[in-house]
Amino acid sequence: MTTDSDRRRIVIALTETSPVPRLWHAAMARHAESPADLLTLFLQDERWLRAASLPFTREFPRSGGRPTEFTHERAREVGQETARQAKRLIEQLADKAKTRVIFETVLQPDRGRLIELIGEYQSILIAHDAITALPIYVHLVELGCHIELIGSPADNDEEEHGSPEDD
Amino acid sequence: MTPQTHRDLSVAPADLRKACDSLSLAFERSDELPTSTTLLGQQRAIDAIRFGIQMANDGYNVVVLGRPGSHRHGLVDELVYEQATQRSPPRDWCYVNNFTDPERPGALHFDAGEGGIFRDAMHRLIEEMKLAIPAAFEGDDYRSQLRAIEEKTEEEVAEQWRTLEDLASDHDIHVLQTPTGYVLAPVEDGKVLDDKEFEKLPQERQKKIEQSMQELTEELQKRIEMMPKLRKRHRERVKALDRQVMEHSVSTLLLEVKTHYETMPHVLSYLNAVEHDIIENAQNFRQTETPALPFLSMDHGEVLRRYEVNLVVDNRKAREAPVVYEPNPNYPNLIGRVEHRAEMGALVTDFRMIRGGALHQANGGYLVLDLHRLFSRPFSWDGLKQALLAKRLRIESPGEAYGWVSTTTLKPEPIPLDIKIILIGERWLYYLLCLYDHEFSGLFKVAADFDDDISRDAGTVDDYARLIAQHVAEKELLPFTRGAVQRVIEQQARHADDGEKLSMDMRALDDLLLQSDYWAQQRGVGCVDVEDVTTATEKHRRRFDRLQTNILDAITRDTLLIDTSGACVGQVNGLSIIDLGQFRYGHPVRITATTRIGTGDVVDIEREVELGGKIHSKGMLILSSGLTSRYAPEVPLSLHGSVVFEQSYGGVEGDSASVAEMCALLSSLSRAPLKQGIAVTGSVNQLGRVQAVGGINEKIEGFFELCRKRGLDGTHGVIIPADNVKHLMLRDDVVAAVRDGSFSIYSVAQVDEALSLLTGMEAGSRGDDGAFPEGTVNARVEAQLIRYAKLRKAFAEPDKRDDRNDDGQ
Repeated sequence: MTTDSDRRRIVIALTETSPVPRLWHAAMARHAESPADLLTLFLQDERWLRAASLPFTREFPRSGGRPTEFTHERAREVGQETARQAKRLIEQLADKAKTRVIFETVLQPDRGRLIELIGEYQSILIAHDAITALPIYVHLVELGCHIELIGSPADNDEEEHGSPEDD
Repeated sequence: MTPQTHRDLSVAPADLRKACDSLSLAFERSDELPTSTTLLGQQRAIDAIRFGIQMANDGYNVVVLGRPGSHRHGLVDELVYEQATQRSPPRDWCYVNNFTDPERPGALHFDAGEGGIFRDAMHRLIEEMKLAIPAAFEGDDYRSQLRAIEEKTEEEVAEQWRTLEDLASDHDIHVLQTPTGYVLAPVEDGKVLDDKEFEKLPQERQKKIEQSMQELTEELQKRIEMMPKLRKRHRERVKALDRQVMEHSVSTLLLEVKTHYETMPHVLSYLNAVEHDIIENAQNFRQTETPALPFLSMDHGEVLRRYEVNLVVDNRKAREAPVVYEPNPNYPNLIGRVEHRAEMGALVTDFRMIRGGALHQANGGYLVLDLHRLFSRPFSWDGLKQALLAKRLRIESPGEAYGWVSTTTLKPEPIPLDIKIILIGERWLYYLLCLYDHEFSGLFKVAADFDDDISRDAGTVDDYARLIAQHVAEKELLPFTRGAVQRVIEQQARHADDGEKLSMDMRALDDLLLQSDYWAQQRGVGCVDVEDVTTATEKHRRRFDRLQTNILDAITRDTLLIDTSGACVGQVNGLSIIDLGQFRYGHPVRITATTRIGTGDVVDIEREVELGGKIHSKGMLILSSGLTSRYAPEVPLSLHGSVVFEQSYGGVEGDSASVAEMCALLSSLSRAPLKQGIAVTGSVNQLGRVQAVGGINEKIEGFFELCRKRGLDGTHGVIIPADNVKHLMLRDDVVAAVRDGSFSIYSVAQVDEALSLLTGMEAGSRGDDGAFPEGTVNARVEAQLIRYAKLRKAFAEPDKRDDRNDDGQ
């Protein structure tokens, strides 16, 4: 019989800008210390959709250049594509590590779904420190899980979305 | 001519073959003789070679001239090695990468044997670096310094965004990050506004938000522009740290090698370049990333090979100056080459693929080359001259050297050249070079001319016997008996075509020794005796005499018409010789002459149909001139004569038949028949003097063979020039036939003597009255020529044409 204490999860909380490999490795380090189910939680940022509804919202490219209109379609497209890329990357990393991982996508305000996935477990949540700026961070804290924040790499932002072989 | 005269002109049997009876050494078998001396009889050439190889000045290279088989290579080897042992081994040479211009690899020199040590030291150094450098970058010290740089940069980046976010927060705006950029979003009560919520805001608030957005846009763009600068600054800090670590690691590792070569500035300069390059290309020692496309993978080991050393001249094992013989002196083998390897369809190369040629290997010593091989390899001669003239060894392909190709390839640094070249070749090539190559004489100032033969006297015969003994011993043949040694010496005199000489054709000598040994072994005896040498000679002849046999057969079957008995007007047996390279033989050829009234010309039919060579034509013209001056000098020569070699279809060269041709002409004029049992050879000058010719032994033996086949009856013989008697080394059977009187050899000094022998009549000399004695051959010739002159005059004066009937016959 499985008890609550056995229901442990290591949750990798990803957003659209998270450094996936770094968070994965942090999670794997935890997993090595104390094996548990692995869950990747992709938190779609609802603020994009809200901001995109405003007519004057512009997206400023990180690499510089002319800002472009940030439409609802663009926000959704970016969200979906980012989630797909994150999933693919996590699957590759899991293959390489010969381990199994669950991938779930959650729209940030969906608190019920968060409780279902995290709140019912003894969870260690590993996230990029940028997550603290998101409204959902408050909900995650409230769920009582242990949160481990990983800082940004120094050199450049592109590294955040590197391939699994980078390491 | 009387029988007494015949005997006077006969060559004594003892003179037909000069027996080797002057051997003074006491021995019964060749293995009792002390071995000696390969230097026999070539003192002129030996002195020249020694002079050439000892002269240190430019251009004193040596050309060794002589026939193949004259032991030129052996002698050159002996003398050059003797000289080489007195000199120290030369430098080693290496090619190394030129880091500033890889297409021009640098050359480094070391004392003999040191090049290999340097190469190994560099190899060990790189192996050490492959371990030590990554270790330095994996150390805690490096990692902590790197982390400090990263933290500093992170702080700078964070500071930029923090100030932006603070500013944005003051204006109730959030900075949202997308995967590719940033979005500014207005907030109300901590929540990003959507369009509906924004619409509900008061106009004044909306305007303020829009104004704030505008201000923050500028701030955001400033920070976006700042990011690449911060990243660049970060990379520079990391690079500076890497460089600092590399410099420390590399200089520590190189210190030992540098200290070892501190007295060699050129090596030290290279090591400094290596150090600089390693530091500048630190990633080569740390590379761990896998490229996006597998085929773009750079072989890590390959990259580090740029620090390897290509040892092209290694004198580690040398104890003296090098002596190199290059049997295949093609351009790359001589000058060196840059090899290429195929990589993904392209040919690539680098300094490690530079290969030295024979000139590199012999630099500081001696290079021996065969002249004809050098000339049969395209560009080799020019390449050699170029190197000698420049005194530098530049490796480049013929295409580059001649400007045919312009593709980029390596241009290795030229190496100073200090070498002595010894060319071995034949004389004709040497003389052609002297004539047509104006650079040749300046580069090859010493000619060492090998004698083809040496004088045969008591001293040289003894030396020659010792030489034979040495060759027998070297080739581990059965010992030769004294008689066999004498026989070999006689045969070498025959090979020299001269009873008073000994051939220095060592190849022929060795062949005779080997074959004699073979026949002795066939007999199952322990020594090579006279009969084995004779068998070897006869078997050798037998193997090659198919053509001679065919000709004899054609003559005896009267296909080729040669009379060996009776007498005939205007017809004589000349003797021609066929040279098949390893075998020569003589055979008779019928020469006929016809005469009639004419305008004073003697037609050489061979020349008219271009079957006669230049020397033959010259002989004919001398003969015509002699005829003109000899007979009826005060009347115009009113003769038309023609001379031809009957049944000759392959061309005639040489003047050795001019005595026979003259005799045939005089016979035709005098109507004196010529004996067909006697053949004639010899050339004649304008004064009627008979001169020596070549191949005398083969010619006599050729006619002897035919006569013997038809039956020797004492009337057969050969007339030869008296000057050729010293060349006689006839076969035993010919000598025996002369001795028993069934065959004769006559030597003549004047054409009249030959004429007397052939006609059996007195040739006749002019008396005090200036006239030839009545009834002699010459008197009849002169009478006929005067008659022709008169007839011709009569034809020119029609009124007196009736005189012809009075005088005509």
